[in-house]
Amino acid sequence: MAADEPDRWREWLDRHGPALVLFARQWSATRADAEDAVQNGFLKFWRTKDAAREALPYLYACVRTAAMDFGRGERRRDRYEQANRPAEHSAFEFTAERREREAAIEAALEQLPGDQREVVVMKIWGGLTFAEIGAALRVPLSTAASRYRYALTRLEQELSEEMAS
Amino acid sequence: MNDKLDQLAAELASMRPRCVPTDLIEGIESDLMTDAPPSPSPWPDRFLVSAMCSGAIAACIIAGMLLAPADGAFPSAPPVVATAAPDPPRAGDYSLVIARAEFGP
Repeated sequence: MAADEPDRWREWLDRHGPALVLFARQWSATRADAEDAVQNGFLKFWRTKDAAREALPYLYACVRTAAMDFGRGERRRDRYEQANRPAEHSAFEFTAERREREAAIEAALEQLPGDQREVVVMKIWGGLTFAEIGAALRVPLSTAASRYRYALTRLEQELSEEMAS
Repeated sequence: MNDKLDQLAAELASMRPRCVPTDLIEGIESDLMTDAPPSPSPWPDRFLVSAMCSGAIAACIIAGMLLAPADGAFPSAPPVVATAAPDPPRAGDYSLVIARAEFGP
């Protein structure tokens, strides 16, 4: 940690923390696991960020790796516990008047394939550009953009069917 | 993208993910606080010491060259004077020497 920026990590965490936990949730059995993965990934990012060409994609890449590593370990350990795990709070702070709709959106989001969901989270809540998403995931920009488009199309279909039913 | 998808994207963006809990912030803070500051590399010190030693050695060599006498300033051995070998004494030399001793030169 550089001496002239003792608390800059707080700004980074305030700004990107909520989206990072949502991002890590994809590979984690529980929200607590996702938070642990964010902690590990963020620490790695903060200690090595000076070597990165682009900080924000690197932050997401660090958290992604940490969450995947953490998820692998947790999956082995908690394989038998997950069936009886109590329902968790939502990953979002629902507004009172739109609670039902937002819960439906969250449920639809969880049904997305992983490679589409991570792009949506990075784009919508992380505020990354497609170029940055491509850098974080090591895929071409066009791939990131098409995954996003497929994800929104699928979400829209899911939500339409939900509304119709 | 069409309007429906744009609308959906805007609706997603209006949803706020939950805030980061304080124990996560505290965990990161405590880990960062325990990070040891990076120890300075010993190499700059080593270079400095070796440069100083090299300079001192060079200064000694230069001083030695300046202060050392030029060749021949101090004779190391007495000069050898070539002398002709004396002639062997001849008959009459002794009597001549005795006469000089008695009557003066």
